[in-house]
Amino acid sequence: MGKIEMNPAAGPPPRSEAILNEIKRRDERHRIIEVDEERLKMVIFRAGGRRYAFYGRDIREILTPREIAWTPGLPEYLPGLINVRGDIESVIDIRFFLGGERADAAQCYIALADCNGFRSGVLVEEVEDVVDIPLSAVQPALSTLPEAVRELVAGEFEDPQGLVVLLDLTRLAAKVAV
Amino acid sequence: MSAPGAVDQQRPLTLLHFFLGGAAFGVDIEQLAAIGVYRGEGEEDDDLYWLHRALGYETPPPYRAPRILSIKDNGASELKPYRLIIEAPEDVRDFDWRQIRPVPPLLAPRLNARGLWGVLPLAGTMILLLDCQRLNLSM
Amino acid sequence: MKLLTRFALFNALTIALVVAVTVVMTVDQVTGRVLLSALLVAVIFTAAATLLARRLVLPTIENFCAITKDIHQRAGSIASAIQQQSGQASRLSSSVVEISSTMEEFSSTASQIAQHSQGVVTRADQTLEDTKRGAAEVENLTFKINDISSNIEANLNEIIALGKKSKEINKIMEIINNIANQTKLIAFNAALEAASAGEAGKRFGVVAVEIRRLADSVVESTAEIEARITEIQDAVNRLVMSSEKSSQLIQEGQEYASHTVVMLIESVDGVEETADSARQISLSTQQQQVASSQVVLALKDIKEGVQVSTNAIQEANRIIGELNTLSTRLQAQSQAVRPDQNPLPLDQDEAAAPAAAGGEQHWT
Repeated sequence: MGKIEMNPAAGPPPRSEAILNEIKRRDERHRIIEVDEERLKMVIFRAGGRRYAFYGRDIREILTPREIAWTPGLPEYLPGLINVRGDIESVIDIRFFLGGERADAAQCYIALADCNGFRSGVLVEEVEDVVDIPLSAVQPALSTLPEAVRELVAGEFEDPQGLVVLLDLTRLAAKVAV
Repeated sequence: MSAPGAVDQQRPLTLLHFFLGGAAFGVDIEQLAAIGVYRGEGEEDDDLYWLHRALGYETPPPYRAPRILSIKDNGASELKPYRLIIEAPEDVRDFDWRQIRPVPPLLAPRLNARGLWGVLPLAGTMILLLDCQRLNLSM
Repeated sequence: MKLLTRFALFNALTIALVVAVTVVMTVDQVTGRVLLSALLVAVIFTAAATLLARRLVLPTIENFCAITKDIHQRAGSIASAIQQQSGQASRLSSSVVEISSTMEEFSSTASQIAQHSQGVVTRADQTLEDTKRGAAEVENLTFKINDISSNIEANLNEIIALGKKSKEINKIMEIINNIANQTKLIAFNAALEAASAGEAGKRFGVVAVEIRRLADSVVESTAEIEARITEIQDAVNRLVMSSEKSSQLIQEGQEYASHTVVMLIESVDGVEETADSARQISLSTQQQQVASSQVVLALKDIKEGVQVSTNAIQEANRIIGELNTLSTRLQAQSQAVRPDQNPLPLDQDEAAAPAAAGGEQHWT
């Protein structure tokens, strides 16, 4: 927070100096605010015609659409297995819980979730963005949602394109566990 | 499954590979005593089982050319020998066991209970490894 | 008979005179005896002459009267025959007049028809010329249409080639878009990795943001290019559609032209037929006219003949009239000689006279 001293013998500091000092002060203030304000990474996606988000920390990777190998003896929301660079992962069709129109599964992106020991691919139709949202922006869910969705909702927030419903993957994990 | 916990790297894994209703399966031939053509006999026999029932298919799949597998007992006298009707095999050959992956943790409870113990990804196909001696025949 | 009496009287007087003269003149006996004998001879001669005359003349006069009567009768029958003929001739004449006027009407109608049919022929010839000219013009038009059509086709092919090229550009756009989307995904995953890497990942996160920005701008650019290409393709489609429409119109025009040519050719045939028929009609009417003029000539001949006949009849009647007059006079004369003869009935004279007069009336 030091002043820049250019000419110690001069009278009042020149305007350029004052400007530079003000800029520096603002910069530092901004950084503090930034540091104080926790920002959460959000993965914003579309499914069943609505906009949702996962916590970025719960998502390991976003995968390109691929063929899902159907496996017998599984419920409808578990369509089968996928091959991720040689590793085999399960897939959850979250649209089963969210409702709305369902596009072809083989054309959907897959968010690979990994949180608290829960690991699975999650079928999302399209990933819109991966952004930082300030914690303060996340509000409790107010909008009317179907009961099945409410169980998974952690809150909601607004972004320039509109409302985003934040889903909690831990709750999803609980729902799909045997 | 000779010694527990040890993998005999010398012994190759020979699998009987077949499809049923869109899914690919592989059975270690060491579990098989015999394979024959099924012509519809023995509907009432209580040691004869349809695979699709054992695996919990929602709708019965078509069997183009059904075969009967005679499954050995597992030597632990828990399981009597029985016969299993499957689709005609694609192949019986050696596979690289190092490519096998475990069933994903989310699905493991459901699938292991039905004898599916691993997955062998193979050029666009995922072969579900089936242990016939751990099939849930009560279905 | 008065004649004979007068003759006798005259003779007597003559004799008397002679006697008187003789007596007077002669005293001599000889001459007296000669004179007396002469007188006797004269008396005898006169008596003989009178008797002879009576004997000779009377039969002749009787014959003459008979002949006269005969002539009178025949004159009467000739007159009535002539009257009949005159009547027939007059009927013939009036028939001829009627026929003549009919023939004139006929002739004038025929000449009208001839005129009209000539008019038709003229018009048919004109129409023939017109339709031939029309067919030639339609053929010209067809050539021009074909020219335009092949021009349009050439243009159309170029336009379609342009459309195809723009489709190829679209494919490239798709590839670029795919790459951009994949790049975006990489940016997302990089951001996620950076988040979990903590402080060390911050700069990596910045790089990820830059990658994301690049991917976004690529997507923007391709979107713009795609919009341009869509515009081009729309324009191409519109051009194709409008030239298809032109093609269709041209085809319709060509069909219409060939249909018109067919119609013209058919009408040419019809016109030629009409002209032929008109010429035939003309020919027929000409023949009819010739025939009717021949008839008219024949009728003229008949008329002349009738006229001649009439003149002859008039002449005959005149002669008969004279004959009648003559015979009447003769009759009168013979009546004078032999008064006891039956006179001819006067009505024959009357019958003969009016015939002559009436005949003349007819023939005026």
